[in-house]
Amino acid sequence: MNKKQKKIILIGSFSVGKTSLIRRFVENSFSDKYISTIGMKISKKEIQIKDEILMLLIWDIEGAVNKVKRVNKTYMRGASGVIIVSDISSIGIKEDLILHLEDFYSVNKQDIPAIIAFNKIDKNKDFSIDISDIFDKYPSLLASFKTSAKDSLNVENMFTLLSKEMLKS
Amino acid sequence: MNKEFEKLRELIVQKEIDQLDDIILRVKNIENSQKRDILVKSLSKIIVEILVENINNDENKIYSVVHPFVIKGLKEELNGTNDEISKILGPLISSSIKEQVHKEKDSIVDALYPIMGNMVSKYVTNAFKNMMVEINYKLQDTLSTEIIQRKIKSKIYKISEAELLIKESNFAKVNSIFLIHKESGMLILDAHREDNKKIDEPEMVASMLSAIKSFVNDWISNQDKMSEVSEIEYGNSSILIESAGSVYLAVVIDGKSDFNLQEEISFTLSKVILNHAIEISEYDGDPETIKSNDIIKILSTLFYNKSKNKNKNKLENKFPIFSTILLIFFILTPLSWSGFNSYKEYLIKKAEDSIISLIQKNNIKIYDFKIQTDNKIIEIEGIVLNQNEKDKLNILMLNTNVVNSVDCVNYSFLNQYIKLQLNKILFDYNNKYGSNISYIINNDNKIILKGSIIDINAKNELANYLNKIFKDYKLEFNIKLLPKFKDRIYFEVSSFEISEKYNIILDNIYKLLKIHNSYKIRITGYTDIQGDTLFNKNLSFKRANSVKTELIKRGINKKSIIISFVAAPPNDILDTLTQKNISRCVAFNWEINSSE
Repeated sequence: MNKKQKKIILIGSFSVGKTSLIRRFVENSFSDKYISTIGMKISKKEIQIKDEILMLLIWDIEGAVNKVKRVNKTYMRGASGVIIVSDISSIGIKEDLILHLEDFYSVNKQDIPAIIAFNKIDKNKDFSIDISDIFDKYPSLLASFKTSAKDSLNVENMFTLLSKEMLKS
Repeated sequence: MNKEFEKLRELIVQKEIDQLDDIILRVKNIENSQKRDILVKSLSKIIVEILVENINNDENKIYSVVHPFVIKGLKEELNGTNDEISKILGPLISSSIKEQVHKEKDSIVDALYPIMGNMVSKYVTNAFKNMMVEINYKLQDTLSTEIIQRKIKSKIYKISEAELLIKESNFAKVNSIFLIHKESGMLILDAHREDNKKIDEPEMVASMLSAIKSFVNDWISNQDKMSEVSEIEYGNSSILIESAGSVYLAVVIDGKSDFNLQEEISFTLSKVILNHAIEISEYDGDPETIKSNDIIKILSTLFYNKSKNKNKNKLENKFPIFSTILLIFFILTPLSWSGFNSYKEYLIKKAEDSIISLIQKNNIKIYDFKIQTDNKIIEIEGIVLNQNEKDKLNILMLNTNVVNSVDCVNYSFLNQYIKLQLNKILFDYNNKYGSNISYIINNDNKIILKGSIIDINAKNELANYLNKIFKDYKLEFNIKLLPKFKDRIYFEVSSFEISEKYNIILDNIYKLLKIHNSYKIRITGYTDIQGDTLFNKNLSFKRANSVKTELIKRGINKKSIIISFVAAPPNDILDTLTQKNISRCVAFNWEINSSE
């Protein structure tokens, strides 16, 4: 074993498309096991960044149903990167994003890189939102991507950017 | 007569008769066919009744008629590719088996017994055979130290030697070891027994195990029960989990684990931690940061533990037993004592950590929490503010070695308790540093410290100390830092006249007193070691007083000035014989204890 491992977690509210994004990215994946009873799934994908092969262990954490039933934070611990997934057709997008970022940074170091995915962009290509205040609040927030697991839009780019950033730290 | 008539009739009308017969037959046929349709129509209405009637009358006959067709049909269906029948029968079979087992348990057991019984007895026989081989091996080894140990153990623990022998024979075999980073669930490294197949995707195993562990720990803690996942069993194998602060070991074994193996795993993990604590706690997924070979070397001892023991026994047999034991004893005692102590410390630390994390997980707020371990007994002390928390704590510590000495008090008691502690600390502190720090406790239970202090280091020292002691409280420091008076005014021998060159110093002191006008200044006069004490006392007073006069001249209220005098050099003069010129002086200090 001489490959670098990195743990990425995907968090977001219920049914925003976390699992679909991972499935799109890990297509023809080597492993895709599921433990539905404990509310999480782990996938593995190896990618090459320059000369280095990186083994990504992607934790798909069951979406929080509401603000009261929050996700199990212990799954988030020790992540090297996080993608917060949002469904553009849902309401209260910003509120949800802040909630998930708060959860994540309450158990992880403040310098862990994060990316926001505005998913299901295929449903509304004209979608736009101003989240400059969130970027101001969270300096480790790298970028936001408009993604579509359905049309395979920006999925690869998003994971690659996050992986590059994780290698820097 | 009749015959003749018949013959005559045949001769005359036979042909017509035949034709007539034919016509009649045809007509009958036509009638019959019409009748048949009518018959079919009529019969079809009552065919079910006919069948029921016939079945009632002669069931066997109907069965014998139908049976060949049913069998033929079934054969054709089963030989073909059509799996309709299995689809139809599948659910029926399982439910009928269930029902049958429920109704006729004994007969089902009887039916299966010859097959299952044979299988079980074959398995047990094999297991016994293996055990016998192992026991025989041990018995043949009669002169080994092991047998003496066993005899002693048997006497001490009152367990028969045979039972001990069986226990020894029933050892577990370690197949794979995973060292996993606790927080991230990333695999640090894995090791496998040489004769064992390597597990595919060990990284996934590590992540999944961590997820399961997190889930169970999280769930258990919600259930207010003290527990941690330590073993996952499947059939005759298990995964033993041994956790430390930043890593845990998952050990896959065949057979049943026992206390010795668990102890050994715990000891091995502590060895890994002692030697590689920093690199494994800071592991970020880069295998190059880990000294894998060293760690695998330590972990691999778990694989070969048994065989090592056997080799050792063989060696020992060649030497006189008791002298060898004594030699080993003398060599190893100091070493093992230090090893034992560090291992003991590690275990104590681990136990204390787990108690602290348990208390934190259950959101029990204990003020002035202390944890002490003395000879396997852990005692926790502190104060909680409501009985519920005390009860919760009692439940958590049930069936453990922890002595729960946490008291439940109300807020006013807690306030009194804090005040007593604070009074004592600040009294000592103000005396030591000449400060005037006091405190108030506001309605939010916040401790606000106020007052003044001269030395920044002293201020930091106090802040650190109080933060440590009162870590469960909110602390606010409103402590003013006063500038230190560095300069002194020096005098000629036997003189109390102030040279003009000290005007700058006096002006600066005036300015500082104006800025901090709520504080008083203490002026102390000193002399060198020469001369009469009474004279010197008078002289030192005069020196202090002349400085006081100068400050009053500049506009300082005389009430803000306190003077004192000693017939000796200041305490910080190291060599009073050679440093007489700097001994004759006046020094300045803030008199903050008596400030208004």
